[in-house]
Amino acid sequence: MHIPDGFVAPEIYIPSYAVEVLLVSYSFKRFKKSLEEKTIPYLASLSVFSFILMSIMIPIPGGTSIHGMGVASISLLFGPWVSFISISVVLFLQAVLLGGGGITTFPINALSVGFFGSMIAYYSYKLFIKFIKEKITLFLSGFLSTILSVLLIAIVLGIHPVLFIDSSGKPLYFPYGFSVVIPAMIIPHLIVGIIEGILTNLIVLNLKNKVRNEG
Amino acid sequence: MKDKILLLIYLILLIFISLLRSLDVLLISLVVLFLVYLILPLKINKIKSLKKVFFTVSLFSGIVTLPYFVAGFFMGENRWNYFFAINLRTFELAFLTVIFLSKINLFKALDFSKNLTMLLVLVSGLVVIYSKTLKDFQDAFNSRTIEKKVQIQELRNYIKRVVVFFFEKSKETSQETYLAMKSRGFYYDNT
Amino acid sequence: MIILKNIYYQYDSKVVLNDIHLSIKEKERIVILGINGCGKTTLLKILNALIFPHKGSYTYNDVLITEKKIREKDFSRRFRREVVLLFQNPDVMLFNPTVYDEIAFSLRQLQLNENEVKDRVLYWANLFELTSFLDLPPFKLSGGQKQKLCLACLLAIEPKFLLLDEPTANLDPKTSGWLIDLLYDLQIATVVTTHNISLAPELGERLIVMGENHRIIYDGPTMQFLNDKEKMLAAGLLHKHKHRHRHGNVEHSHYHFHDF
Repeated sequence: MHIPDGFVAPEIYIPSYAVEVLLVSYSFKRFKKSLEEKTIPYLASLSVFSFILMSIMIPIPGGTSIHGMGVASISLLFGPWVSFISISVVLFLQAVLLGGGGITTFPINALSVGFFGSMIAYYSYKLFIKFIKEKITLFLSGFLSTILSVLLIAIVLGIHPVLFIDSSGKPLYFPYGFSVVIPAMIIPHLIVGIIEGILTNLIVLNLKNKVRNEG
Repeated sequence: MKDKILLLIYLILLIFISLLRSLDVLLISLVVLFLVYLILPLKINKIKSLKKVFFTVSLFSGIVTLPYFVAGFFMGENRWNYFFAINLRTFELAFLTVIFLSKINLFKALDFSKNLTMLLVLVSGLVVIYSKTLKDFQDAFNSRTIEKKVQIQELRNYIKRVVVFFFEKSKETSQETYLAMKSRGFYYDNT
Repeated sequence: MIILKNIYYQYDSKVVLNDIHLSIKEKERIVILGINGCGKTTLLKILNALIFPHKGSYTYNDVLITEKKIREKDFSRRFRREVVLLFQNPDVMLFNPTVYDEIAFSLRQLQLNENEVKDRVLYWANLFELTSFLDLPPFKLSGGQKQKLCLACLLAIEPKFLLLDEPTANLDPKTSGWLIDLLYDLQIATVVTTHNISLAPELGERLIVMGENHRIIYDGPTMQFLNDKEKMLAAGLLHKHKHRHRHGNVEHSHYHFHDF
């Protein structure tokens, strides 16, 4: 989700950064206990792998291609906390290295897609697998993690015209409220969610035998 | 040290500009920033960067702010103040970022955490190499595909192969990096 | 007939190809020599219409190749069948579940029925000594076998122009020899890039040398260039190396070929 800087208020992005940093540190410490010396190389490789998953272009009917996110796959294969760190690293590098900006929106993306998305993918799988076939559960996991991450981003944006207005009631940052931004973002992402669901199914089924879950 | 200071200045300016609302201040500061961008020696292709900034910002900004501005007329409101303020601010932040990021060595600026720096260095390096290989995969697939319309099963095979390939490659790289670090005497202290 | 005129290509503000003029006729055997980074791979990718020059033109049989043109279904079908590229890293070309499927992949796109496909697959697998691997996934093959498999896939569709990017770089001498013999017997145009000077004469009668300035600095008979030490030195392909010998009290130095 490439939202340029300027649409999100510092009152939102500064605390988001704080939360992001705290959560990443916590996740890292928790993870290091099990891997110790191998932690950094492992995380680095996983981050690069995530980057690749996010870069694969899939042609869709209509002639264009879109790329997937791979969050659900990473989360299901390696665990949500590790997935969160990897996705955060990738998003951070994309913001600073690709020259498109997005420094202020990074923590929101990282928390929605990286944290929330990983958690939704993982726990929804755990819930649904109890009574739904694996193939469908994987699809649902990918689909839900995409849609709900986007929903969270939409909510964060939509709250701006409520909280951040000037004395005459005009918006200072993002101008649309929930009733506009939520459908405007969710509807186009339905297709992305479907592709993500299919991809999650494909990737997890093919890789799960090769992975040892580190937490 | 220089990089950390620059990073701090960047962050302060970032927050400061995010809080600006007056059109006059925004316009003047944008002009100043633009002049700085033109004059300051930067190690990047300025024209290409300018185009990129303009494109990325206009695309999103256009989709969001233009309809809002236009809708204002139907509601009897003149929203030009908002329209200009938000666009000026967005461009300004983009310029600020381009200028500072081209001057800051992020790895040095963030080296208060050894783990973070190492992680970023490793990933940045690998990303360049892997992206090239991924592009080769895509090129080879295009080169070998005679019929424009690809069968679903063929696409599945291709994606499957690419994913498995990079997974195994990442795993190998992880082990090799670990051994290389060990061989160069790198030990973790508990930071 | 391939004609490149004034080709210019840059990447990340760096020039990769500068003012390239080249024409290739059917059945010509061309070898392109140059040090790493001089633009050989980029040139092949342009010839295979995977990337497009920033300046200049590429015409294939009088058709101007542009991004728009290659998107046309009918043209693309013809072009991709006639001009094929063997990538330097065979891994990126192989993605089908079995060796059989890998060779069959392109054949199936030619609208042949499954029996015809099978016949051709078996023919080419046999020719390339891959028959015993037909049920295996391609990634289980050795480097040399993967290379052979890639070639089988490309030749099975009977192209007119075969482009090869440093095909011997990762091959052992025996397999290199096999490749050279194979290319020699082919009745199609081949364009082979290499930085291996000793193999150059065996890969083509016509030599194109790319300089460090990203231009073509020689285009003519292969042996004529390789026998000219001054030209080789100027091209950076020969390295004058003070190699000291002692014969009694006399010290002398001489040229070495460095095959890199």
